[in-house]
Amino acid sequence: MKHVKDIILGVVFLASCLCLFWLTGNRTPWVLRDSGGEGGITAYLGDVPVQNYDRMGFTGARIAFAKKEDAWLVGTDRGELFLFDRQGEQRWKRSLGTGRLVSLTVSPEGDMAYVGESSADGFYYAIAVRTGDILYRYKGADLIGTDPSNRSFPAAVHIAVDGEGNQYVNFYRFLIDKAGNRSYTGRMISLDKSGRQRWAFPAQEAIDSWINWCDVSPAGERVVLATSAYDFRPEMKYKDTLYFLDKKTGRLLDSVFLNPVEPFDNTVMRCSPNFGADGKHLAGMSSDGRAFYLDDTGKVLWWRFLSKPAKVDGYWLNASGRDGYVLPEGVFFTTINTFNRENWQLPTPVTHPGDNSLFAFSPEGRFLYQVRAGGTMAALTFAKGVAAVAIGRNVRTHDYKVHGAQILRLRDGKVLASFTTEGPCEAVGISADGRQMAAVEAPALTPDGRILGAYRLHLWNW
Amino acid sequence: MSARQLWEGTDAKPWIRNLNGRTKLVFLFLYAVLMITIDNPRTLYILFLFTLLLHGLAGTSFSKWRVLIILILLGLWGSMLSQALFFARTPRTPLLVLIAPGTPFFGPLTGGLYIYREGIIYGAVQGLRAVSMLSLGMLVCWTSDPRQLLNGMLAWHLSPQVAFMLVTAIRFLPVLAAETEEIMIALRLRDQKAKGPFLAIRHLPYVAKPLLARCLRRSQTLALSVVSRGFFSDKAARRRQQWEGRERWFCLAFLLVTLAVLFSKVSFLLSEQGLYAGSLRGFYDFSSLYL
Repeated sequence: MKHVKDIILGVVFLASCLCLFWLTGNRTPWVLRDSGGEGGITAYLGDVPVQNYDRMGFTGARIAFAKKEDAWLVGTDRGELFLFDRQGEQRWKRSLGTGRLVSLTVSPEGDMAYVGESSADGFYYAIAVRTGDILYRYKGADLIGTDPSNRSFPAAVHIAVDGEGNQYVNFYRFLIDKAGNRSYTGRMISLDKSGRQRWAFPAQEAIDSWINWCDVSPAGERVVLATSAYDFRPEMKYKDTLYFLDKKTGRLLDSVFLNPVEPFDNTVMRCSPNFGADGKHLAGMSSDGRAFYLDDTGKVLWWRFLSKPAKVDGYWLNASGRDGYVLPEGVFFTTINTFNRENWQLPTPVTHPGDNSLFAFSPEGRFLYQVRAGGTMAALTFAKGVAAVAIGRNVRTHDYKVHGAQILRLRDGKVLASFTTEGPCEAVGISADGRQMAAVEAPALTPDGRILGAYRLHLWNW
Repeated sequence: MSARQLWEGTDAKPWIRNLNGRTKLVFLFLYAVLMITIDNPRTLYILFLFTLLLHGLAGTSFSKWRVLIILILLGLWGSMLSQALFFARTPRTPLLVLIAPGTPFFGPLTGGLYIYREGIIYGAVQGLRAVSMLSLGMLVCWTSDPRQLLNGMLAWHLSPQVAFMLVTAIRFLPVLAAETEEIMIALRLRDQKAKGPFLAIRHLPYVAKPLLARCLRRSQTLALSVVSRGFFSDKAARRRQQWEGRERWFCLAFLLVTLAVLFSKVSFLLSEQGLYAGSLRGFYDFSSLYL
C-alpha cells in the first residue's frame, strides 16, 4: 500500500513538472492547437495586452508565405517570429528582442525573410527562413535617430524587395518639439542581398514627412515612395505626395503633388501605391477616399472618388482609403471604417456607403464591382485569381459577428469562402497555390468589458 | 528512517556535506536574489529544476524526497489554485465558472467564482519562486551540520547571539519532528479506538500543548549548557572552519553572475521608463527574453 502511495506521489509530481513545462512556455494547454473541422487549425501566439475595441493603434501581426519552405512566417507584436508548416506545427520561433514587428516580406526565392521592428533601436533584420538565423541587421536609430524618453521609436515600417533580392526599406519616427507639436522624420534605404547599403534617400538628410509605404517596379527601374503626413505645413521641404527614384542609385527621377480635397490639408497614401507586373502602371488610394491610376512617372491617368468626404450634421465624414493594386484581373482599391474628420474616435451620424469595401476597376477606369464587408478590410493579399481579405473591427456598428476572413474571386468579386473569428482579424496571407489561407486574430476589449478572441493564428483550407 | 533523521543532514554525499557553511549561505542568498529578480516563467522553471538536480547530486534519500515532493506539491498547487480563483489583475480570462453570478445566495454573495487563465500562470510563477527556495533551503538543511552554518555566520562577524539563534531554529526542526512523533505515539497508545485513516488528524489538536512544554524544557537545558560551555567567548569564536579557495572563487563567480542579471534587469526596467542607452541593447534583449 505504501509503495502504491509513493508511486502515485511520484506520478503526480512528474505530471506537475510536465504541466509546469507547458505553463511556463508560450504554449498553454488549453489553447495549444486545435485542428480539423470547419474551424481549421489554430495556433496560439502568446499573450498580448488586450486593447480597447475602439483604439486607434490596435494589436497587429504580419504574415507571409515562404514558398521554398512551404510554410508560414508570422511576425507578432510580441517581437517574435514564427515559422509554421501548413499543418500548423511550429517549426521554429525566434524572439527578436524588445521590439514590435511591424513589417515582414519574403525574398523572391523564399529563402530569406526581411523583418522590420519598432523599438528604441528600430532594427531591420534579414533572417534565413529555414533556420531562423539572423543573417544581418541594420539599426534604424543610426539613420533617423531615436528618442525613447518620448517613446519616439524608429521603425522599419515597410519593406519592398525586387527580383534580384535588393531591399528597399522605409524608416520613420515622429518628433515632438518643446511646444508639444508633432512632426515627422523618415528616410529610405536600399540594401543588396548581402546586406550592404546601396543608397539612402535623401542622401544627406531626412524627409520631414511621414513615409509609410514604398514599392519597387518589378519590370522597370523605379522605386516609388509615398508620404503620409496629414499635417501639412508650408515650411516642409518634402511636400510632394509621391517620389520616384532610380532603384539602382536612389537618385530622384520625378515627384508628384496630388492636390488635396476638402476638408483635408494634404493627400496621404499610407498603404499604397503599388506597381503592376508590367512596371508601367501604379494604383494608389489616398485617405481622403480617392483612387488613382498612374503611370510610372506619377502622371494621373484617371482617378475616382470611392468614399467622397461629405458634411453631415456639421461633421465631415468619409471612409479612409487604404490599398491599391494593379493585377491582371483589374485595378483594386480598398476602404476601411467611416471616420469623423474632427476626430476619428467621435461618432458619425451615418456610415459611408463606400466604407469597408473592395472596389474593382478595369485598367481603363470602368467600374466593375464593389464588395462590402461588415468590418474594416484590415489586410489584403492575392494568389492565382483570388484575394484573401482579413475583416477586422467596425468601430461604428460594433458588429462583432463580422470578424474573420474571406476568399474573393477577383474576376467578379464572388465570395468563394468565408471564415469567422471571435476577435477582429488583423492580418492575412494566402499560400502560393491559393488553397490555404492564414490569418491572425487579435483580442479586443469591448466597451461593455468583454474580451473577444485571443492572439492566435488560423489556418484554413478551402 | 525516524522523524528526527528525516530532518537531519546525516546521509548526504561527502562533496556537499564538506562544503563550507559560508559557501552554502552565499549560494542560498544569491539564489534568492535571482528568484526575486527573474520574472520569466521558463527561466524560473529551469532554476527550480536545477535545485532538484542538486538534490539528486547530493544523494537525498528516498524518504526525504517524499517529504520534499509533498511540500513542493502543496506550495505549487496551493499557489496556482489560490491565484486562479482570486486573480484580481486585468486582463483575466475565465476558463471555468465554479459559481455563476446568477446562482441563488452564493452568486450575489461572491459575485461569481471563476478559474482565471492568467491567474494560473501568475500562481505558477509565484509558486515556482517559493518552491525553488524551499527546495534549496531543504537541501542546505539536509546537507549541513548546524555548526558549519554557525561558523560561517560568526566568520562574517554576525553577533554570536543572533547567529546562534538562527542556527538553533534550523537545529530545532529535527528535534521538533522527533518530539512530535513521540507525542503522536503516546496519544495513539492512549486512544481506545486507535484505528482508521484519519487517526493522525484526530490527534493533531492535542499535540501543541505537550510539544510546547517539551520545547520550553529543552530550551532551558540548552541555555544552561551554552552558558556553562562559554559558547560566546572569544576563544570559541576563533574556532572556525577554513574557507577553501575554490569555494571562494565559486561564490565570487556566482556573485558576479547575479550582479550581471540584476544590472540587466534594472537597466531594462529603466529603459522602459525612458532611460535608454543603445549600447545596452544586448542587456535589454537578454532581459526581455530570459529574465
